[in-house]
Amino acid sequence: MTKLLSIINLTISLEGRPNTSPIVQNLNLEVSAGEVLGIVGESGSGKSLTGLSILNMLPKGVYISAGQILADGKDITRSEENKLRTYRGQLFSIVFQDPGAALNPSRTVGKLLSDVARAHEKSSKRDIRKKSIGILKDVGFPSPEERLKSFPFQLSGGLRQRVAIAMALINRPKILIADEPTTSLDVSVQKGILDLIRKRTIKDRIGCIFISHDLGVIAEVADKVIIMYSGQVVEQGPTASVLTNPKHPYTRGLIASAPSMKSSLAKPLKPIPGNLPPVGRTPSGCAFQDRCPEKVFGACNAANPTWFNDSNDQSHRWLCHSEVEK
Amino acid sequence: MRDLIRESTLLFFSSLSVAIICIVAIFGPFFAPDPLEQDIINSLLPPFSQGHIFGTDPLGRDIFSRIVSGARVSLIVSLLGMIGSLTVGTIMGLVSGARNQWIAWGSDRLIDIQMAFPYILLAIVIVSATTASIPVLIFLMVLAGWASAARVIRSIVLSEQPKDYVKAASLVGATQKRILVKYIGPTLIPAIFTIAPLQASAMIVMEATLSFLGLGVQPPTPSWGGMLLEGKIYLSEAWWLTTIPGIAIAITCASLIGVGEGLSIKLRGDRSRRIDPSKTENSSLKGSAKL
Amino acid sequence: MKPILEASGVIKLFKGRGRSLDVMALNDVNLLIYPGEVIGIVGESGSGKSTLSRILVGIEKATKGQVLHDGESVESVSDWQKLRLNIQYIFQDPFLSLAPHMTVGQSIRDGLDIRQEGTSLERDNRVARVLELVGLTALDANSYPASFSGGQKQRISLARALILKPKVIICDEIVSGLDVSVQAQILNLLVELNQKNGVGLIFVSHDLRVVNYLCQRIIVMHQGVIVEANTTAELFTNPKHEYTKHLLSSVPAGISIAGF
Repeated sequence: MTKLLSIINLTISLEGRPNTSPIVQNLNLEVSAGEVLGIVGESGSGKSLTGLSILNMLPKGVYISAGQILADGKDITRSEENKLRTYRGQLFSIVFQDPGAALNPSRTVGKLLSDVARAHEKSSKRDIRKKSIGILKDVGFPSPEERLKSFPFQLSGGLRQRVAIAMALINRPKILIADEPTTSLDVSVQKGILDLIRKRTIKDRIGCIFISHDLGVIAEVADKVIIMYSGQVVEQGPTASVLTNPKHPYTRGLIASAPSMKSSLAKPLKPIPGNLPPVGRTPSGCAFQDRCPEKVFGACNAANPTWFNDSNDQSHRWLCHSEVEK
Repeated sequence: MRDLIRESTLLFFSSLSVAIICIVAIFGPFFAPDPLEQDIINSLLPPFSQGHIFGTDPLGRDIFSRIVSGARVSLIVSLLGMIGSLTVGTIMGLVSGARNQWIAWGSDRLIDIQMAFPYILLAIVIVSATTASIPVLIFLMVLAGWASAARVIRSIVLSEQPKDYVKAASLVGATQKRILVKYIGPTLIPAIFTIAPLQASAMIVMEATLSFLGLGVQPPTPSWGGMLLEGKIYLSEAWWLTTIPGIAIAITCASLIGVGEGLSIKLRGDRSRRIDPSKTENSSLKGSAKL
Repeated sequence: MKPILEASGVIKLFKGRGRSLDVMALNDVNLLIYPGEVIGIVGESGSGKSTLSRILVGIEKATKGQVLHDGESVESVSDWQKLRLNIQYIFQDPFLSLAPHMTVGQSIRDGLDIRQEGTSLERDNRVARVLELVGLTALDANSYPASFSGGQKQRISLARALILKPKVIICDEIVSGLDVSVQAQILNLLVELNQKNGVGLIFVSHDLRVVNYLCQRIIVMHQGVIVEANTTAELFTNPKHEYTKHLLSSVPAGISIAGF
């Protein structure tokens, strides 16, 4: 499997606030061609910022303070704007939660697609039209030629998201970042989009990073997953392994507090006690120590946590202390 | 930090300027010579003459002390006018934003009529019906300013009405009046603080205009507008008779507008300046926005 | 047992402005809700579930049809004002439902102030007690909404509703924008309020998983019509309507072993 993206020890910090903790700490991840990596986390986990940092689209006041991002062999950490423009669209593409934001309401679908296509390659009008029709068909539109003439306001949320995905895929990027792409869509529409993303990832040999707070969605779409809490990666591995056999207390807490179709009041949900640490005030060492039901005093607050591997599956690892019962 | 300074510079310097003008207006007359004292021999002296830093007018009266006394009149009239205008304007604006359609409609029409009416004409009518005096002047200021204040207040009230917290208030039993006063009212305060200096500055000009037309402060009480009127005939020979009060009006106006602008930048800046990276995690929080 | 809340032949038509077409948000909706029960109303966007919930509490007026409370028809604004003690409503967006310039205590107390119930001290005590009921502290009454998280703000909204001792609380997508762990806390709080304090709940949501957990009875809506209504267990094991089946099949199932 070709490794398309490697992030090594990524740390993102707040600018000009030296006494605050980093908002993403020592993140490592890898995405290969044809696989979907899910990033799961709640508010303040840093999952969205991780996605944005890959394209150097971090908001003002936040910057990459350490680490490396390697894409397709190239080091793209903190690349300059002109280089980035070539990367964005050809190497990477991103789909956001709100499809309305990506679609200029005054342009037709056809124009939107040609805008994106032309930004990276000089092609003839005819070629672009052919490419557009092709990608619209790939994302599931039954009559693509007709669709080219539609305006975004004529489309429902789900269809708009499909257009946004088409725009993301038209230049055949190697890596697709999807940040909560289905969160604002209806359940029945969501299913279609998830299927679409999975299908295209496999077919086009893309490396997809799928960011979500919804464990059920991640279970549906991701091959492997990393769980983030307050800027730290606390567990990672194959989705099946992590979700059926969670090792980190936070992952376990997350699963126990998420309602599923199998939940009932006979087995009440077990919320994680306490509140998320405010941004920039993550406890040093283990981020979860203040809320961990399995905390061992003297161990968890004294030393930094280390990585443990699942004996059954080496790629399934979590960050903890040896004193905590496995 | 740089943003903080940039935001506050305008406000700081404008406020400083207004403060200086107020201090001069309040304490000036104690130090300057009598503005009413005539000295025909020394009439029409240019600025920087001995003992008369701004020169003298056709009757030998010291321009500097007339400016300082005139400042008092202008500031009192515009300050009281502003307070009156904002009070009436806020009440009318609240009424216009009420849910009751007829009351709101009535209030809106009143505002429209006021704004459409030719102001100077109205002023002439009122002054002829009564007299030209300071209370009448203040009344005219209120009349001039309340409608535009009401419009601003009304638009804020209308934009707050559909918000959830207002609906929540009615759900616990609040009447429309309670909602307007207790719930929406306090949200108007920043806007009022921003409009106030702008209204005051407009009233400075208005007072000067009315006095220039002879409808305002009557001679021999010094006023900036009155000085413009008196100096008009001497425009070619004694430029300082009109230019100096003109500059006084301009500086006062600009300072007040600066305070208003500075306040609105400061209030806007407070909201946009705060960087909260957790807000980039809006994805999960905004998950409820259905398309 | 008499139904506490009833919708009878409710129709809601939104007139189109300009060139937009009229939208029939609710088309002949009939609904019975009994005291103390937890009912879920599910549907996707355009189903009319939010419109229905607003009509049931009087924030919106039906074009045709009636809303009955304890058997009596509710028509005028004054009728609704009388009902405020019995039916309350929690909004979806925690950030907009509390006045930013009023302290938490003032917002919660206002319902009592309006009715002039008890002395000022008694009202403050009630505020303190209801804050503790929802899992906050009495001291929180002195803080402003801005210092609380989304989940905490929803608790404050619940406190504001509960202080009036309502028989039913309508929750319109109140946990949709919250983090999973916070969502669980609010859901458990609702369960407790229902089981210990007997408060009935009408829970409007698009998330079938949450509704499955919380509700005894579920009403499924689609394009302004109730397509199916049944007990939770029956609805999920034996869905009758095509749309219900379609909805159920779309819930992200993922790895069934994990119970998702």
